[in-house]
Amino acid sequence: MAILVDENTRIMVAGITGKAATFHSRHCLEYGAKIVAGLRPGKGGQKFDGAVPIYDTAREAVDEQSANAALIFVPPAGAADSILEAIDAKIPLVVCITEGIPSTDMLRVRERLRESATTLIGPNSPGIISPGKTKLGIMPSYIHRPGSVGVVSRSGTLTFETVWQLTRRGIGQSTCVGIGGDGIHGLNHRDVIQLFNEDPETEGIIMVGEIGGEEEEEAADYVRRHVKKPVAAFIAGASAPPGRRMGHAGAIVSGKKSGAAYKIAALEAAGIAVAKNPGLIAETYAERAGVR
Amino acid sequence: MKVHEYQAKALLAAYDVPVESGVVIFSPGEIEAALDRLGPQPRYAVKAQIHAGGRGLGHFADGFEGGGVRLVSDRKEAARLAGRMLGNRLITKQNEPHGAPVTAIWIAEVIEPQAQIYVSILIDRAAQRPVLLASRDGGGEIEDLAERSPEKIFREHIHPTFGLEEFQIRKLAFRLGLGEDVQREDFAATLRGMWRILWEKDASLVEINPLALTAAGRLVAIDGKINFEDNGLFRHEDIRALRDVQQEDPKEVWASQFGLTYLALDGTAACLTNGAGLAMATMDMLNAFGVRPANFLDLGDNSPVEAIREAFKILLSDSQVECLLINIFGGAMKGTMVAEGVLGALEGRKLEKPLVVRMEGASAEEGRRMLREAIPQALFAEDLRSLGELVRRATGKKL
Repeated sequence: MAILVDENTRIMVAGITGKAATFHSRHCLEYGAKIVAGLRPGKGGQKFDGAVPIYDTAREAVDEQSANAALIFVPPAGAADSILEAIDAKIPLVVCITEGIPSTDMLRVRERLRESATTLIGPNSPGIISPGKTKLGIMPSYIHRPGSVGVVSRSGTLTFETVWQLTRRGIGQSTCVGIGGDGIHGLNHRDVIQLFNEDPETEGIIMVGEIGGEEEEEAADYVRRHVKKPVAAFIAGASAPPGRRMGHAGAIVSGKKSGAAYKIAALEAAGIAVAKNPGLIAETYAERAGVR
Repeated sequence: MKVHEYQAKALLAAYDVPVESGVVIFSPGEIEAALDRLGPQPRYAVKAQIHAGGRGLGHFADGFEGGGVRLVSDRKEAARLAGRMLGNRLITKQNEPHGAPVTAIWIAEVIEPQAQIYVSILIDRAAQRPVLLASRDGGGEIEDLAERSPEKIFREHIHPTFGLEEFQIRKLAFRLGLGEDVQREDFAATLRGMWRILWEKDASLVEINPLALTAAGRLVAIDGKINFEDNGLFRHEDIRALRDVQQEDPKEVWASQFGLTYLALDGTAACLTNGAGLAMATMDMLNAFGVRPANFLDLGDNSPVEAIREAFKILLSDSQVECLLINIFGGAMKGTMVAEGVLGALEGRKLEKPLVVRMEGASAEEGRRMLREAIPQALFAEDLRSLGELVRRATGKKL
């Protein structure tokens, strides 16, 4: 089993005709993902790569192809609108890859999410993969291996790094979720860790966090109270100078509480094994979980 | 994106926020006419316009004493100070050691506040909603107040689509002791304007500290700070026009022209990395090996070869650098594109400094091969740890 997505997930790709979307959709299809529809207003009736039907509206993709997940590559100016359309079409899971959506747009999306049953991953996310089952995202396929460790991360490339360390040690993954680097976003660390905790086939969890915000501390609090599975973590940005935003919207040390040292202490107090440096993430997990 | 105090005040005034009277000057020749426009004042505030905070306690690069914010009673002295600050560099706690060039001066009336109110609107990530913060104990650093007496800061979350409600403004006004009708009207105008700027112009922070209660019982903004979210700039040409690139590091400006996020740091190992998380982790890895990074650089995952080439040129232009490193884990970013960009930046010249490469993801093997053939001294790391170790050896640091 895996969380959120598996081999039965029926995917609609929004913005499928764009360059990046085309590239990644092909890789997802190669991986075995069931991309059943594309969304591109004005190109309804055409086919992507001669096979995947393209629709003008999300509603049609749901009605005609029973799409139950949306993967969004729409450029920043229209991305929030695309998420809103997917919510309106009652698509249960929306994964937004788009980087650079204005916060004011995402705040409106957040209000809609509160009153809907849709789960959002991202934006500014690498996506989600359940190795061996399906992939909705931009991660390189070869670094993954099916298994039982759940990985949740704010960063794309650092998720790849973590997964690759695991795979090279022979440790497979149940699902890897990139929650995205933006300040206003969907699922957070705590939400994903809860899903992993409730998934019988996920045996251990790795959280990759970074400086800024309070989400890692909230997740640690949940772990302390509810999680018996081994949990390891890494917090990126211990060497970041205060007051300078490290790329991600959230990654800024604005006070004592958002610095790496404070976060690491909160995680360790919750019984989480925290890697001393980013080269030791898989090793730290393996030690905590008692695997090779 | 940051803007100057004078720009923030102009925007606040345009949104009907009561703001102190003042004039801005950009050259010595404008000083007299500007002072005429301001009219005779019992006292004048002369404030150097730079993006960093702590201006009052700062010092000028040429040794000119007294800080970047001065209050004087004589018009001639105000004119002299303004002329002296213009063209100088102001160095504060926030931008030392280099400081920032002073290319504009704000000269304003001096208001003696009977009370100093703090008010700001920003986005509360924990609540995933905008929040209004207000306190009667304004004037100082809000972070200090939050640490010392958090109960003195009042909060109102704002529903983004309904906006700021009148009752919320009233509630805060009474909590702040603004009992007079006219004060509440000033307060309401202030908050409505601040909220509209945040929402309509994609600001990430709109702050007035202090909002002064005057002897006449009115409210006036005597300082103002607005930060804009970079992600929203694409739809606000008027806000983009407020950018002052002279306040930014030239390398950061260079990078931003190619859609790259670059931050100059003070170490010796230059980093070409993709993704903010991996870029930070690379810095952390270097630190674990006793090496200090010269920069933070996020190439993103979709940069064209030209952007990668410019990024590597920026790294090459930094004379403090002792060693260069490439750490790429590509999803869409192909190793071959990175190699092309790097070799393009060298333009056939020999690379004089050590280079350590770690490359995974799309077309990584081919990318490594291209670099190995073109740069004989390049060292290749198979993982993040060996990257750190190889850079340590290349920079001659001991563990």
